[in-house]
Amino acid sequence: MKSDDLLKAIGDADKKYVEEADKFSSDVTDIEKLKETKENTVPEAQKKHNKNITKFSQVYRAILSLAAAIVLIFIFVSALNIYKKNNTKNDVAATSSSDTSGDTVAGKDTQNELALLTEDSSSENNDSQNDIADTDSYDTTSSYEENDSFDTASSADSDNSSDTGSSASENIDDTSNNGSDSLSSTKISSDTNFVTAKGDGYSFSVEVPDGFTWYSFLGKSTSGDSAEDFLPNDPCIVIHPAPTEENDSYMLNGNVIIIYFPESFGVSGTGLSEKTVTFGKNKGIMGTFKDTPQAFDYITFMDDIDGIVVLNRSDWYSTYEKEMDEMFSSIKLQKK
Amino acid sequence: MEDTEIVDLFIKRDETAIKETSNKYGKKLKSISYHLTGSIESSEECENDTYMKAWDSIPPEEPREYLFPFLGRIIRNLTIDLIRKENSKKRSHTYTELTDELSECLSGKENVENEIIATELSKVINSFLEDLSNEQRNIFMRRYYFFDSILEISKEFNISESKIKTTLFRLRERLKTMLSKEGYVL
Repeated sequence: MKSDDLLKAIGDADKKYVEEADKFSSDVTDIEKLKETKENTVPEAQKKHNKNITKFSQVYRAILSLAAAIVLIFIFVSALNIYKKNNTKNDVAATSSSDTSGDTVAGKDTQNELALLTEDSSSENNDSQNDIADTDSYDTTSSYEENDSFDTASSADSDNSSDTGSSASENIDDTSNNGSDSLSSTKISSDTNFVTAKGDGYSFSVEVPDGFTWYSFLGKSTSGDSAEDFLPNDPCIVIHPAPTEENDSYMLNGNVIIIYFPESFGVSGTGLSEKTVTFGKNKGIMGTFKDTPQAFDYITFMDDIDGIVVLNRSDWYSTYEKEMDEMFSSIKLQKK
Repeated sequence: MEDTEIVDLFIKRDETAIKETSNKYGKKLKSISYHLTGSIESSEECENDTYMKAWDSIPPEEPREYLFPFLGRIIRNLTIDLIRKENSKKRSHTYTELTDELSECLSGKENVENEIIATELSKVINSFLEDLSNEQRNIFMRRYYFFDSILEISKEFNISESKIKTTLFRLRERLKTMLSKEGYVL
């Protein structure tokens, strides 16, 4: 006997059992509805499977979203870094392209500074940078560095005429004014006035007193411009008092004190008198030529800062002797 | 129209008997067939054949008191025969499921004797049904007479599907025991 025989035999069940069971017949006797019900009836296993798939899908989507967000953030940060680097490179490139001295220069602030330095004298306003952009023959390259972490330099061209010299003087004073105010605050934005100059295999620093303006140059440019004849060929730090009047022209007149570390330093002995001086821990020899207008002409340091030279081209040292002597005591030399 | 009146129409050879039968039991009959075949066309074919067979059977049969069970048995048998004729691959899932379930009640061996005595099965089945509780019997009938799915039975009786399955399993075991006692299962 087959199972379908048994199935068939059940059809011979007593009528009372059939009628009794027929009362439980569901409402769905319409085949169309029945078909619809069947199609809509999803096996439990399938439901669970679908549920699991849905859960997995949700988790998977969440993970994907998170990963995508991380990747996007990473890309954004990377792009930002690249953008910043490119900007920095562009600044350096722009500065280098205008540099005719061949010195290494970098930095925005010095560029602004030198723009002011070389600005046409006829412009006594703050549009000096634009005017300088129009000049060609006055090449100045400079840089300053602050606390080893702020390396900037710049060069700019300006008119080489005598007018330019005197006007530049005024603008230098303007710069100096700015230097003691905005420029200095730009360069020495922190509460320290330590200035560093770097050369090949060495660096030296000095703490510039308040009320003074400083510049850190990589060295005299090769243009032979008279406006910077006072600069040595080596990296140097130039200091002068912060100008108090618009006509002050410390920088252009070379009315400054220069600190540098020359490969060799020698002077003519004619009319020279020397004496040993000590500024704090720094010991040196101060040289003064006869009939010199300056309080002294140079100081060559020894011991810890052996080789450091201070050139005095100022007529104001006597006025600020105490501040300068304190500054000399702060000179430090580091050889690599 | 009452069953007796419909049967009278059959006896009178009034063709409206078929129309009235169809109006009263058409959906139910088609539903039984559809459950087993899963095909509207096949179930409609079986329904029409059922009316034809009823037309041929009444008279001499006069199922005034049991018209629906009478028609139900016809359409069940026609549907099962139809499925038997078809390729096994075309057999519906429900049919395969039902026969698999009922095969638990039988031995794997077949013999002529069993074939012959199959006609006597109805007595055993009725005896079996008589011993069941109303709920058990109705569940059994809904499953193996009307071919309802477990889900449908669950809804009809407001019982969980798992309980329906358990109940049916136990009923099959009882049926197997009974068939065994009666000599249908070796």
